[in-house]
Amino acid sequence: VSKVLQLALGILAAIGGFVDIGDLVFNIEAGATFGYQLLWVVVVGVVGIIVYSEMCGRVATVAKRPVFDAVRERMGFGVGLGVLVASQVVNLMTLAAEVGGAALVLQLLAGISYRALIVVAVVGLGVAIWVLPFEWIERLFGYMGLCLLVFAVGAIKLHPDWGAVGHGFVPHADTGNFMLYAYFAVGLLGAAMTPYEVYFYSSGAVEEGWTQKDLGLNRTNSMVGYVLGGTLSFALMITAGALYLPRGIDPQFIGTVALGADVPLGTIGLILAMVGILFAVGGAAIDTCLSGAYNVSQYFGWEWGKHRRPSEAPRFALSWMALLVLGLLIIVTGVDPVMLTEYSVIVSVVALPLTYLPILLVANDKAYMGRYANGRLANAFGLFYLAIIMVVALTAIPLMILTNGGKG
Amino acid sequence: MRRKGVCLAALAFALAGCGGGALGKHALTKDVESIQSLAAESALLATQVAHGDVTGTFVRVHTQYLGRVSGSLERTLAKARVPEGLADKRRRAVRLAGLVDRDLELLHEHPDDRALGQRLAAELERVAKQAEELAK
Repeated sequence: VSKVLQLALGILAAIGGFVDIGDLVFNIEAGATFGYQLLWVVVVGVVGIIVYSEMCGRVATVAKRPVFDAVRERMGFGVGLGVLVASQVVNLMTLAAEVGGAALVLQLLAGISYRALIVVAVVGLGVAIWVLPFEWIERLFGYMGLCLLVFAVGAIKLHPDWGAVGHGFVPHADTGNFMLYAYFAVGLLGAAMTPYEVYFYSSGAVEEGWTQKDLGLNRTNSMVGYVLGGTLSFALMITAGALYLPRGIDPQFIGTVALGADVPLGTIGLILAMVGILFAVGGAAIDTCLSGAYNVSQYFGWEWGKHRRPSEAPRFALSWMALLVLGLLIIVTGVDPVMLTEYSVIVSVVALPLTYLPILLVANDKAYMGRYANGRLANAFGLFYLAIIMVVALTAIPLMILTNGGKG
Repeated sequence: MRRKGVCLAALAFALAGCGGGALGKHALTKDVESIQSLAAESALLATQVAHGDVTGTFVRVHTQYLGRVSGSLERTLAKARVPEGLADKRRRAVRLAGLVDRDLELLHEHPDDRALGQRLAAELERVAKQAEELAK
């Protein structure tokens, strides 16, 4: 049991990163537009995030340096500050969207006014961060988020064409609109490798006090967590490919995502889906909120950590509270959370190289890592994915403009 | 993503003044496709109501969101200016958007009425098919 509980960090990072409100809609839209054709992109994204999470977990464990320590040291103060500002903007956009997403799901469950539920969501998240120890945040949101596995059961019950599903794992583009296909591919990769996942994961390794004995746990955590996240992405895309594509439905709402579990499994499927979505977007809100506080504290060298009392790390505590309040202020303006997070995914793609390059450099530095520095295989994967990230970062914004924000 | 299109269309309409914005063939086809999508999704939801396989709260809230888009589409299309050759297509699109909007309102008011759900599911499926034909 304790071994299973230890996997909570990877599961929360992956569920928060893979199936936040933007990913839920992005995956469903990808399936409803291109069927199973983009499943291979999720595989590429899952392997990439496993490679870099393992690396940053190892760096945090051995060198006791979470990601933003490495960013400041390797990129210099000026460039580091640019990365900090960019990542904080993306974190804040995502946090606001997740708060809105949580309120939307609560509305679908309780039928109360959306605006009142935004406040309920913010208060609930604030209390959870304040009261719960780090390990219990991981367990509560990570394991409750696993209710989303209902989509995997639902996808099977929809009897998709398994031959076509299998073909989706082989890169191919059977479409008259290649630009739109490329836009979704870039968005899915960006969503899979979104920077706040590694900020949270590496800081979480320090929070949990991992030592070199835990390097095996780090590997298992990154693999199990992100494979689970990827499985949920597959399930959502297959559900949309089987249910929405043949009917010409273009999913726009969080309710449409939940309907994907209701049709094959009935009311119980619907309720499990909504509970799963609630904890996944709640987990993502906590990921982004704490990531923002970790980043700014690590960059300026402040005391940080959920394992410290607020009086021991006051600027860290104030940072996450300020982010939560800013998220609330953004979402109460009435901005659509789904649209906000879709844009934040694309904008975050541009910041990817500046997050992942310092991790690769530090993980490769024997002065810090000693015998735990990257081997040839880790470097080969790291460089290969850095090249992919560069291409994705350069093409994200042009593709968003050329496809009119994915409208085609 | 189409909702962004609807928002942009509504914004363009507002900027063009109360006389209604001009709508080209491509934009009109996109709007008809949105009507088809809304009708098909509403039909799916109505089918679940007919089977008693969905909670009343979910139906009430989700139909509200779908209804906002169908209502906005109906109003935007009704006021938009189109070239003469597209007038009939626009008129039929307005009628279909209106039907979807009305059916969603009925579902919203009677989320537990299985007989009504069955009737609306059949009607919305017909609307979805008509919109699909119209978009071609």
